[in-house]
Amino acid sequence: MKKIGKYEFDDSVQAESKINALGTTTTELGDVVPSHNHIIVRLGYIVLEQGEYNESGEQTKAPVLSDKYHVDVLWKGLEPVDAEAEVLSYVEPSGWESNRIELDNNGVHSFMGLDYQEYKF
Amino acid sequence: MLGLRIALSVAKGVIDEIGGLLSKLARRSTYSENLADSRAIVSDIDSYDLLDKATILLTPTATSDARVHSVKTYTGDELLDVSSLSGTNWTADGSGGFTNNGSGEGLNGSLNENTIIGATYKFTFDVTISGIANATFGGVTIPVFTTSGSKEYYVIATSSSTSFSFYLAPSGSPSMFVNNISIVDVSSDFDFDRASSATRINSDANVEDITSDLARINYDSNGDNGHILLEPTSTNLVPYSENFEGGSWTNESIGTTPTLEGGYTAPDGSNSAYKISNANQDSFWYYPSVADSDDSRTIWARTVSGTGTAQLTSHNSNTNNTFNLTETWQRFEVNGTTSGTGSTSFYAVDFRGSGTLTELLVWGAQLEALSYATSYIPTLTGSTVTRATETLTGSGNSTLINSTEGVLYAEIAALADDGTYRELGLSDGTTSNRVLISFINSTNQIRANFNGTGGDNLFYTVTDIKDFHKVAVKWKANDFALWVDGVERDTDTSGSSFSSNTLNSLKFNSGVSGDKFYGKCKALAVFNEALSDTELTNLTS
Repeated sequence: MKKIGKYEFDDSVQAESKINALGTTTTELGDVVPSHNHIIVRLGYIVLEQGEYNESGEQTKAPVLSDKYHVDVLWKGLEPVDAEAEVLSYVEPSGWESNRIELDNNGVHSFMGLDYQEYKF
Repeated sequence: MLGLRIALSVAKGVIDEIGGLLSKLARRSTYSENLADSRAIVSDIDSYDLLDKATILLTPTATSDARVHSVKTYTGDELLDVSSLSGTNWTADGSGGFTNNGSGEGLNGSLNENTIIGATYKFTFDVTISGIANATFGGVTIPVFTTSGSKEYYVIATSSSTSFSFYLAPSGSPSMFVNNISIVDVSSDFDFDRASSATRINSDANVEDITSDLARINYDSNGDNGHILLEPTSTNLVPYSENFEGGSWTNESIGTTPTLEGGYTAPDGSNSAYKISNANQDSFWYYPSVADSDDSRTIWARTVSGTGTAQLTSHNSNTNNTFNLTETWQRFEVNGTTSGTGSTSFYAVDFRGSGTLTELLVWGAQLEALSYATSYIPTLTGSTVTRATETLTGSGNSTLINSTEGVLYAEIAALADDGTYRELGLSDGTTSNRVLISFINSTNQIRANFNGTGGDNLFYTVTDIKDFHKVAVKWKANDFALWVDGVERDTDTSGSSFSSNTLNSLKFNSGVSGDKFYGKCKALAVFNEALSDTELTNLTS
């Protein structure tokens, strides 16, 4: 079962700790890569209010950034909490639910062809 | 004359055999296309008397939801003996259907032959149910089902057995009618996964959306050269990729404000392309503050009429962004910037530099945090959009793969020469026993490796790994070889081979989950013997 979750963490360290706990493996080149198949998108400190820039890229008005580090996850292959329940429900791997936020729109990021409102927990 | 007639008759028989294979392939898949190219690939292999030696043969032709179908060796033989099914509280209707009388319990029977551990079986049935049921065979119990309809499961056997059963839980007053029950071996097919949708270039040379979990048979920009396309996760960081009046698209009031006019026919056949005009060539049209200097940038563009040049995707001070435009849509790609000016912004067009055009049509702006561009990811609203990674795994078993000797063949191209490992091959699901074909971190180098044997890694450097190459690796005791494009490129004549029944899977990765093959594939085959030099020359030429 696919589900989309939107999460916010105190900082990138906290987020990376949760992401690494999902499982990693080391490639032939020595790179540490995910061993799970969930799709993790690190949005970072998202822009809440756009800044203004001149053409050289210099900031003329500072953007307002979230004080939380944001991550979107497309969870794949989740098992139902109770497989014999009439209405199946799903939950993320341990430790993620407490960081989950819920939006009434798609937010600043989406997964192609998947409506967050349809796939959210 | 008689000889000619016999020759024609034999040729017709061969064509009919290939036609039969492709016809069967098309019937058992939800989608099939590119049949002429597939026929040519299969005919080539057959013309060298290799078709019978191929136990798995994949061409870019047949797909279903979460599956890519192999031309061989699907037999279509029904494995379930429906006449063997019976059980307490179950009644047969004589037409392959079975009804439970409302008390539940098991409907038991047998398969015509033992399941093979590691083999994949397609299990389908139609059911009308009120209650909770499941089914078990090959050592696997499928997840419970509680809803009526046509069911389809892919089951990988974990035990060798002929036993089969449905089970309807007796609690409450359950009812169930099941018919059209079928189990067939599909071990040569592949599991495909992409959790999001994606786009491709179709055979009409148009950009087309493809739903999630459906593999892409992609074509070159002219609609030719069909191939299976496998790409990594990537995000289009430019919002409003088709609406150049949306979001923050602007010219910052610099120079003469360009004129924008929508409603032009776009590469996807819609009327979503824009004409941007700046007669004074003193301005630009950009989306500010979305980029890094090493991002890849792409945009479709064409002239309104005639030909000319334009600087696309980045600031006019760059030296790698001037392109020749014609009246045909082309997708232009820039990897990284050569100038720091405006490097954090995406320029649909910058009229101020060396370009000759004062107006042009644009569509589909894309900026990715990769060193190379991937297929188009539409961002139709103000959000960025991610396409999920693609995996192709799950083919083969120890019956289809001869561990002691054989040949793995692939006609493949890389997406980029980006210094990463991208691998496909045979394994036992570990990194200990594998036969792999890899693009590796050395420039334009192809590698064969044979972990678990005494065979050395073999290497060959091609001119450009982004071009298609025909690659074959041969393994056999004291006989290991890498063939590329018709020539034996590297060999090792010492080393043992695998024990029987060691290799049991074929995947587009390193054998475990890492180093996925991101690239293009026009053909893939497993042969059950070490082919001769003549056969390998023919196969890879």
